[in-house]
Parts: sequence; structure tokens; C-alpha cells
Amino acid sequence: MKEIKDIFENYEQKPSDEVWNRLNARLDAEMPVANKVVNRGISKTWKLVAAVVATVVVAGSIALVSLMHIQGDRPQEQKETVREQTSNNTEVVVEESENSVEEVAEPLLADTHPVVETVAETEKPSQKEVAAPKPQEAAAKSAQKQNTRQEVLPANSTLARQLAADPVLKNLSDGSVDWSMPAHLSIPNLFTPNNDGVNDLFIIEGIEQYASPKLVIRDKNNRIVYQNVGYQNNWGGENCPDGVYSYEFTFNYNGIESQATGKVRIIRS
Amino acid sequence: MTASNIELEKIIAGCIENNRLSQRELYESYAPRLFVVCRRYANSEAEAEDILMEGFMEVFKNLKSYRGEGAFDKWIKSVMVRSAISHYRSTKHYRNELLMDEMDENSLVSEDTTVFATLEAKQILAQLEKCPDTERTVFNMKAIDGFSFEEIAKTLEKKENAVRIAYMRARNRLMAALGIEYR
Repeated sequence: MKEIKDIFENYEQKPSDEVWNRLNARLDAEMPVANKVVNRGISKTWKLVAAVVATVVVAGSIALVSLMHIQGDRPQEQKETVREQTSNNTEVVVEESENSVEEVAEPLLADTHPVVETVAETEKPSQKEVAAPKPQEAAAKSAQKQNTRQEVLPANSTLARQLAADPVLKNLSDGSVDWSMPAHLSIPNLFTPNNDGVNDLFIIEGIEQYASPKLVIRDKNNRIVYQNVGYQNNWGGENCPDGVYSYEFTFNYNGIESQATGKVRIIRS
Repeated sequence: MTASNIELEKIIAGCIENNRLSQRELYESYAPRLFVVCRRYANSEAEAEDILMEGFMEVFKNLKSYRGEGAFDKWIKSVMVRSAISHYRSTKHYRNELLMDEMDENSLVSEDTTVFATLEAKQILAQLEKCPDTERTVFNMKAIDGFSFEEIAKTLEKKENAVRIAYMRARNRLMAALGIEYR
């Protein structure tokens, strides 16, 4: 008597040839053959040869250098070191100049963000005045009430690009450049809502150029004290005691949304 | 098997190195026999080919873990059975089978399979193909590949009773189809 498993014990059936082709394709996909065996052998020997050559070369050069040190005269060495130093110096100079170029070029990289430049009109140091910066700083600290404005340029404005790219233009922020070009924003850092007719409102210059300008004002505790979608330069610090507030100004220029943030101080007396 | 032990060791070593020629050789020498295993579990020749291919992929991927313990024939066959079972499990959601628990348990009699004595493998295969997937899988595992009902229930995530019933149903079905009386 045979059991069913004995019936299948030696029974064979050949699958169609297509199965191997499919299997081969699967193998190529999942277990690709890296290199032919012959190639691998050659590359190994080449590696060996290269390693041997490298060690020989290194050893030889070390030996040569040591020989030269033993044989060489001291004055010659000194001269060499001096030469090296001078050459180093020149290199350093070159590097510095390169650095400065890079610094100038950096704003270009921040292309997607709005180019935010704080142009403190009183603190504007032209290149000649850099020699005596300390008294200026002191003056700035003592006179914190001075009205400065944050100049905001959307990244896609041609002016921003020009400014970012052109170091001459960048340094000429003393009025010779036309700042009132389109897409230019100027946000104050303080205003005085005391009904004296001067600087009574939080006025963002250039706001009319933007679609849906959104303004959010927060107090020290990060509470929203004022917000307006479609701000029209009409916030006068109502219900806000004197102090420092943070603003978040979102504007849309040519379909690209940008944001400017900063602090604004309210001073009534 | 066609390959002698030394040859086989060479082929296996080649397969582990991912040598396509060795892999082809292994496939050629084992495919006819393993294909029968796949045919038993499959409901069609095409499905059997799928199982065979998956099984061989598993073989080639896991050859490293075969450490020469036990016969290679048995190992490779068990890999193929596992491939068939996992194929059954992967097609689970396509099936719409009756709940087997509903059957009465009176039909649970012997596990004897000697009655198939005079039959040819080809005939049995033809009838197995017609069985529902679960019955066929259970019958294969129990009657031919030597799993216990407990193991089958565990692997197929079914109740042991359901497995027993599936086995008996498959057996009865085969008997009837093959025109054989059983004790």
C-alpha cells in the first residue's frame, strides 16, 4: 500500500522555459551581478600594485627629505622659511579679499526670503566714519527714541537684487540711491500716538503697492493686541500702553508672500 | 537528485557568490521536482509557476543560511512549501469561502491516506486544482508535507477544527472525484 505522499515522491514535471526567464529578470533586479569574476580579480591585483607603489614612493620621499635635512645648510633653510612666510602672507591677503567678496555676495543666497535691511538713518556709518565708531554707538544708545525704520525689499524686486549683487549700490545708502522704487517698504520702529499730528500712526511706507497686507501686533506676553487683514496705515496704538510691541507684517508681491517682523515702540509723552 | 554531492556543493557555492550560471544549474536540476510541489498547492499552472519563481528567489536569497545540516533536497523543498503557503496567505483577501466551522464534526474520522495507492500523481494533481484554495492547502500540508493539524492551524491562522474539516472535505472530494472507495 502506498500513501499519497509516496505517489508524489519521485514525480517530476518540467515547468515552462519562461519561468527561468522571469526568474533571471528578478535576479537581475534584486541581486544584480556586480562584476564579472575576471574583472574583480584584475581590480584586486591593481589595487595591490597601487598600494605597493604608493608605499614605495612615500618611503622614498621620506628618505629623500631626511637626507636633504642632514645635508642642507642652515642659512638656506632660514631663507626658505622666510620665503614661505612671505608667500603665506600674500595668501592671507588674497583670502581676506575673497572673504569680503563672499560677504557681499551672501545676500544673494537668501533669495527666497525678503531682503531685510535695517537702515538706521542716524547710525548709517559711511565708510569714512568707521574710524570713530564708539561715540556713535554711545549716542545711539542714549537716543533710543530716535526714529529708525526697517527697510524691507521683497526678494523678487529688481531693486533688492541690484542691491544684493552690487557692492557699490549697497554702500551708497546715503540718499543717492532712489529708495522709493516700487516694491519698497519702510516700517518704523517707533511712533508717538499723542495726537500732536506728528507720527501718530503706525505708518508703513509703500504699503499701497501690496495686495492684502496683513498686520499683527503682539505685546510682551505674545498676546495679539491688534490685527488687520488689509492694513491701511490706521493703527494708532489704541488701548496699548507705552512700551515695546512686536509686529508681523505679511505682504504679497507678485503672488509671492513675504513677511517682515520686528519691534515697534509706542511713546506718548 | 541528478547532481552528486560534490557537484552540488560547487553549485551552492556559486549560487552564494551570485553566479548566474550556478543559479541556472541549480534551477535546472531542482525545478522539475519542485514544480510538482507548486502544482499541488496551486489552482493553475500559471499560479504554480509564480510560486516556483518566488520559491527560487527565496532559495537564492537564503542559501547562505543553509549550512549543510540535513539533506539539501529536504531544505529546498521546505523552502518551496513555505513559498506556497505564503502565496496562499497573500491571496487570502481574494477568496470568498464558506465558514468551515459550520460543518458538523461527525465527518472527522481517520487521517488515512493509503487509499490513494493505485492512483497516478497526474490524476491527483488535476483533481487538487479543482479544490478550494484552503482545502487544497490544508490537504497538501497534512497528507503530503507532513504537517500536524496544530501546525497547520497556526500557520494559516485558522482554528484547528476548521483545518480538520477542510482536510476531510478535501479528502472526500478527491475520493469522490477519483472514484475510489475508502475504508
